[in-house]
Amino acid sequence: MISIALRNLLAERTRFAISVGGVAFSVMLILIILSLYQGWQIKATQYIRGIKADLWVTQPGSADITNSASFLPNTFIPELEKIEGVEKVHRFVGKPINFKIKGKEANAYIVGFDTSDPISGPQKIVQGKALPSDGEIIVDQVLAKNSKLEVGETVEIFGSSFQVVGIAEGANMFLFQFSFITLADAQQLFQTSEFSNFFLIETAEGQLEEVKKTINEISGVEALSAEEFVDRNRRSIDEVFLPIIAVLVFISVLVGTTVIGLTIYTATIEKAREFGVIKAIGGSNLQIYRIIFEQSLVSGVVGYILGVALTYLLLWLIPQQVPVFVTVTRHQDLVGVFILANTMSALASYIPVRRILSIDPAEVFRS
Amino acid sequence: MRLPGEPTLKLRGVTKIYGFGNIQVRAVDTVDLEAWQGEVVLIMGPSGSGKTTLITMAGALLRPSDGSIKIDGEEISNAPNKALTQIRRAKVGFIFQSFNLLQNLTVLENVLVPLSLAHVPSSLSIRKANGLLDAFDLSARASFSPARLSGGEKQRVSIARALANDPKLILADEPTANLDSRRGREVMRLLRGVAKNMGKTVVVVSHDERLKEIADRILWMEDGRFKETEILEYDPNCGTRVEKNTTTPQLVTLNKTYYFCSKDCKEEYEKRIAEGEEQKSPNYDRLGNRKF
Repeated sequence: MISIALRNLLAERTRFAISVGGVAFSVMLILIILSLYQGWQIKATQYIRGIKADLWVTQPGSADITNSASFLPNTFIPELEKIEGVEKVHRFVGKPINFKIKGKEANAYIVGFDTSDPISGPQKIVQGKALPSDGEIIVDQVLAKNSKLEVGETVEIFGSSFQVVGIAEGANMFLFQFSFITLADAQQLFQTSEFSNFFLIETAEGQLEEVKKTINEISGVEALSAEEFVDRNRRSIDEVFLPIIAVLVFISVLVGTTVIGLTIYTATIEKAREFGVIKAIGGSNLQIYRIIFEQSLVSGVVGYILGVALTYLLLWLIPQQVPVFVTVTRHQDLVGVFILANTMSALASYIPVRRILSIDPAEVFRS
Repeated sequence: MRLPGEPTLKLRGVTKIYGFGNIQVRAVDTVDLEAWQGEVVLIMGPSGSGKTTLITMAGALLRPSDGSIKIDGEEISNAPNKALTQIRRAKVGFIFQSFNLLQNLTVLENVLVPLSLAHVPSSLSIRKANGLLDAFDLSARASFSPARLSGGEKQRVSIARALANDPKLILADEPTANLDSRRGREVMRLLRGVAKNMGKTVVVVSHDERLKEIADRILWMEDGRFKETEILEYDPNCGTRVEKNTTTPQLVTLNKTYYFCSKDCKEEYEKRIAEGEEQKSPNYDRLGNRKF
């Protein structure tokens, strides 16, 4: 079969470019949204996943690390340590706070950790030292970049000055970045020497379920496996962002489908007489549908390729200017968006096809 | 399948009514028509007489309200749409007034379209299409877009396209209307060749009086009906089509009447008869085929 579709597309290059551009921008928007979502999901829980604890002990009903407070008296520690299978109990003290850096408002989740037992400390240092002393702070690189903070500079938190001694990586939660100070400083800042926010439990091999069950029998605490705790934190992101993402993806699909639909429709209507001629000389409805669908499909595939290329370009460019823009593009999302682009093409060809199939081939005799 | 002795196109009592109730219009009213292999039938008539409706029905593009239409022996008046598509693809070639070439395809590709629609293998299609372009002196234009062709060339491409699937019936709608005199004549000559040399049945709808020259029969349509049937004869001397009427120069010899385009032709023919050359073998037979 001669590719009438391809010839029609290439003969109308501007319209083809508009059609391809519509798909490309739509694909780009969807992919960036999905990549951001994946980035949030993976990066936002990266620090929590990096903490090598088998169990997180929380105040019952405390859903996650940022959105709900968990206060546990340290008197629980001896009780937890007594449980068979518990190898070690660590305190986790942290709080999201608002403070000023160079006179500007900033948000951070300050974690106080025992430098002799740094299970909740920074997991990767890109500059400076890994263990702060009293009066020192390690900040995440995203916060440092956003606030133009350098090692050696000072920040003021609740009236106390802290000198930046290290820059950490992987401590970005988007809404907050983790910053790390000593446990003693944290207790003083938050006035929580008798309380912790969570207890981190290391268990003996094969004892996790048994220990978890035993802790959950204690009144006033709840034990979650590390995976469960990560899931809870991820769920809180999903609950906030998934509906927004769904709406944005829907709008993108709508825009893409409309752009291809309109361009293919106008192109098809302009060629209505020619399609009438094809019908008159023996073209079946299926053959005509194929021509129009092929036009849509080519726009969809070319638009998809361009859209993916633009996505990768932007995902490389944007984080250089906006450090918080962390994305992860998965292969399954690329495949999914490819299917979506082709579905958009199929949908876009529906109305033109209906219009063309209603053309009376006898019309070609009317000049 | 058409039986021996059956016309390529046969219409019996064909009627087409548009509208309903008190606002019915009988565009075509109980028309009978037969068109035979190798014949050129010209249908003339004023605008709105029903010519286009008739040719549209004959081309399996429109169903009649009543009557029977057979193309190559196959009844099409009640055939389903799919069958009509197949009939148009295989048995009918269309030539349009405004050429109706696909503008984004080349000349060769335009001729390839019907072959492609009929799923003819690519190599065979290209061979056939090139053969047709060669036959219509269009080989040098094969890669041109239709926009670069003259009107005559466009109509030649249109004829080549109509012949691509080797149909039995060629339907031409005002094929010379958009052409100047010289190109119009060229197309007329080609249409006659399609009938006489390729054995196709050619039905032409036109206002163009010049087409009378190539027609074997002229049908006059008015108010949806044929008013009279006029059969043309060939001048046996020069081959020009002439109408059989009292004003045409005539010669009756051996119980046969010959018609001439002019007195000169008649006198020349008489002279040749006297010399004993032509009596048994005129230059042209009654269908206009030259004898050698």
